[in-house]
Amino acid sequence: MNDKVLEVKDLTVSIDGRRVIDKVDFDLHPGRILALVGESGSGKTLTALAVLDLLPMVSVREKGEIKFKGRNVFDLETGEMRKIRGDGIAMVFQEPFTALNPVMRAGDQISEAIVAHKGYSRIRVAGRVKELLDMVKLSPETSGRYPHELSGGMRQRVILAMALACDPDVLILDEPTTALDVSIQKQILDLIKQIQEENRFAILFITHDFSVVNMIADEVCVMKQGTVVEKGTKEEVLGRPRERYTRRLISCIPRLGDRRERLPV
Amino acid sequence: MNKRIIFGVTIVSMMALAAIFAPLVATCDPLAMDLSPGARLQAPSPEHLFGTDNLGRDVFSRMVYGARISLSVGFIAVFISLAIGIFLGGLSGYYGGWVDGVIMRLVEVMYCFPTFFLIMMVIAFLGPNIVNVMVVIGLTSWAGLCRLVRAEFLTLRERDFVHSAGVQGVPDMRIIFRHVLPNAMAPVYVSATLSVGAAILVESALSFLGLGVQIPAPSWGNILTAGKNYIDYAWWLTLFPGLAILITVLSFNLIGEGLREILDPKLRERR
Amino acid sequence: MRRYVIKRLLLIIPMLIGISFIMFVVMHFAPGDPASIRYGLNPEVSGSARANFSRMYDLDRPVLTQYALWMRRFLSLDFGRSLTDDRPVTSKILARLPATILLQGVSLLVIFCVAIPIGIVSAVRRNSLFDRVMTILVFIGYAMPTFWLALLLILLFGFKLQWFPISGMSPWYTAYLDGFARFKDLIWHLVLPVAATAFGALAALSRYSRSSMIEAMGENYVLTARAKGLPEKRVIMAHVLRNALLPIVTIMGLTLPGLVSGSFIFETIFAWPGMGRLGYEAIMNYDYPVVMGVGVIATFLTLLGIFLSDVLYAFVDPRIRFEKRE
Repeated sequence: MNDKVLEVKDLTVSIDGRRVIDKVDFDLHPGRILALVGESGSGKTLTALAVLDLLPMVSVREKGEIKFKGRNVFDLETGEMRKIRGDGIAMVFQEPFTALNPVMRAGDQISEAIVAHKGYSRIRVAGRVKELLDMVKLSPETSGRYPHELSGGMRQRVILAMALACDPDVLILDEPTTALDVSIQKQILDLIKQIQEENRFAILFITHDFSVVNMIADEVCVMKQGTVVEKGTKEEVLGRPRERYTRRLISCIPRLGDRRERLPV
Repeated sequence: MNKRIIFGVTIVSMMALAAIFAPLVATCDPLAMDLSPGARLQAPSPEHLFGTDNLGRDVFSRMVYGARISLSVGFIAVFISLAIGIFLGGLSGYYGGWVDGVIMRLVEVMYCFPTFFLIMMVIAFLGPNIVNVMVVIGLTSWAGLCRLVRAEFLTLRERDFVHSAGVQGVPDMRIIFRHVLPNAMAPVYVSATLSVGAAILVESALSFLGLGVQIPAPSWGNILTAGKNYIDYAWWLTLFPGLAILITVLSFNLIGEGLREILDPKLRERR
Repeated sequence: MRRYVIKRLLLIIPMLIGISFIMFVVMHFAPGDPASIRYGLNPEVSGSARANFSRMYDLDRPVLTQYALWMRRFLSLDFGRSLTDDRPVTSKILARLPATILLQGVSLLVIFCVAIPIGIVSAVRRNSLFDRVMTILVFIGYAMPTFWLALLLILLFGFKLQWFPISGMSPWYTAYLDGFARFKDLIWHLVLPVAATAFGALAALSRYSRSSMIEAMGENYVLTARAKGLPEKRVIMAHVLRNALLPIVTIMGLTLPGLVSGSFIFETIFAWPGMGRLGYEAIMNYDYPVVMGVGVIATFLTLLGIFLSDVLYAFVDPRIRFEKRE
């Protein structure tokens, strides 16, 4: 439990002179889910991109390090970092529709990373793809379909399968359920938890929705305008929030039993 | 104001001034032939800046008068296509329904024409003169503008100020032209500027083929025609008129691109 | 999708009819009739001979009747007889068509093989020296009167450097050449005309390819691909390019109408024995049947180009080609 697979230390990044990530600090442990919470623009996605060293060209990293299994990501050569992406650290992006290549079949997109990182034979790759589809509860025929033929929930599962393809140590999920129906949201979240229990990787879960945090997180890290304002276990942050900002975010969650008033029509 | 527009406008203004004040700028009479030995096909000299042609006429002066042709054809042809394009595009975008259907069908047909062939035919059969050239070019190039205006109208039609004008009982035509149109003009300015360049290219091609301005009247295109026969010897007959066309069209394109840069972000803001 | 293709195909017919009718009408509003134009200044041709001429070519009937007659003949692919040499128009056109198709076909090949790679490289290496030079060239290309370019090519490569022949498709001694030498000679004759013809479309297509690539590169799935740790080359080829090619393929069909328009100019300048030059000469000679024949073919080629661009897109984009199978 104490071996940190990912450590983010004092990360500070600016774009056009403005600090978009300011002294951000957190750790990921295998088998645990850290929720990175904040409103849009708080720097959550940028932090995730920083972990993969995929920040936009215009950004300047002023200081800080990100250690993956002890090695600082920023010290690595391009080729070495490329090997880590997809294989060691995988990311699931926000919009399921635009994150998939519309002219490539789902199966090919899932197998791409496997082909690039592991030297499996074709048969073995095909087998792995089927295994992955099974894991995310999709039928094997899905691999022959194009993204436009799939529903939103199905696409998100395909993207999940893509991320899990090489059995990563860290999985970053950027608002994976925001674009989906509430009912499907729960399915996907349950699926994620189940897969994690089976595979024990660390998850960085980015969201702006505290109800989702409640459902899935072990640890919570609250970001506001680029800085971490509160950090702790789920019980600590949700039960006894220290910062006013945190309390305000939490209070936005609609709870069962709230009295609802009908608007006079 | 960015560099492109300044450069473009400078060149175009110079050309326009030269064209307007042609009698003052030209060094000789563009129609004056000089068939005396040695006067024909002279290389450029201080006397004849761009040399003389096969009939001893001063090329520079002919080109100055040729600027009149090119610029006037460019402007008037585009003016005609603007008039038709804006009118039909506005109607089409505002009313929708069968009006839109008919006009769009018409636009499709226009696109399917082998335009240059048609222009050649019409001018050859109706008589090659500058007015026909202007009119025909104008009549065949309105389709693009029409689509552009229609697209703008389709978006603007839903805006509140249009609805309120309609509710207040303002007659349709007035709504279209006084209220909606001024807001739709931005991409039209860009397109129109670029079209002037295109019209000049068509006119010069036609004159080159003998289907535009007829000799002895000078046009940049028909100087090149004369040049074709003496191409290996009198390079000045080929170089200068072509260069003039290139620079003029380039300037209009620069203005157009510059306008696009200025107007584009504003377009996005408006939305 | 099949229905879409058939619908577009069928639309060609009414378009062809409509446009040919307009052409026909335009021709007959011309002042002066071919008889007077040909024989007007010739005192030896009597009035009755001229009248016969008119009658023979149906020139004395009202316009609509003439069109109907023309239509009927057209349906059996008979375009009538040329007014200049009385040969059947169809055979005149068929004799010239291969040369035009050769020139345009090679030009198309050159355009695609050169413009698209230039666009791709410009996009991938944006703002590099290559990209900036190409941008300037494209800008000049848009403003360049292409017939002037043809003349410059003739001047430079034909006369000054004497590298390439400047007119015709084959020299007079072609009958004495064996197969390979004749082929090589043909290529030599093609160089300048193709260069001139292809130039305008080259500028436009390379620019379009560049923008298409740049737009594709900004898409989310490209970021996903990079996040998977794929080699950059694969990201560009399999993800960016495959999507950027979709709009480019659409535009491909639209280069055909441009080439058709250009053929009238370039074939004349290079004395290329093609249909374009035939059409130009026919217009200058008021040879109505030939003008109509060439006009119809030109219209058909234009329609073909538009049709191809509509259909190719539906074919290449899997979103349209494979309807939802659930």
